[in-house]
Amino acid sequence: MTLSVRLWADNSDLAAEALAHPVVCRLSDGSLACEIFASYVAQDAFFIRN
Amino acid sequence: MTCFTFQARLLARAPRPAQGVLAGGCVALVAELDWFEVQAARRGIDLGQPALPATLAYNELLGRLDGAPYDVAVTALWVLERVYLLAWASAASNTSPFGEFVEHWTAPGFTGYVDALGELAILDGQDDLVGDVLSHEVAFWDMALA
Repeated sequence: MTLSVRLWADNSDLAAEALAHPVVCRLSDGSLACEIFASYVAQDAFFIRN
Repeated sequence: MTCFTFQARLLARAPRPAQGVLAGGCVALVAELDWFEVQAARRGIDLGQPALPATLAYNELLGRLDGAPYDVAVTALWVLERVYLLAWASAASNTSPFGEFVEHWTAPGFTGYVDALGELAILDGQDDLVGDVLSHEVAFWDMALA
């Protein structure tokens, strides 16, 4: 097992929480409100913007 | 510290073998900002909204990582990008109205970049670091529903 795989496996609970987050699920099934998505995108842009 | 600044400063202190991957990430991030502006204009999204607490906390984590050794910082960047990629891959479906975003954030180029970062993540004994980044990512998703 590579180091990066092991580091991930050791935090599998948190990783699973992120990947199964309600927002992710609603993105997938199309039920996420557009306003929520817009807010997420705006915060994501702020996070990376220089 | 913004993600762009963190990555640019990480590139500046990276060892020679890692510079290609990290430079590619910085170039991609510039293109990403352009893409955000195009999408925002098309969908009427206001990118001038003030940052919310979870965003500021994530940026503050990057500021702390900027002061950490290179090995720690590049490992954190790998975690940040990997969980982002996997989350969007989890959101993929044929019925989602957000398919354009899912496709963009799971594109082969981004997948390859995350895999390459995984090769640079060479730090041992940093489970807490991985958990710290993942916690901030979960908080970032939580913020969308707050």
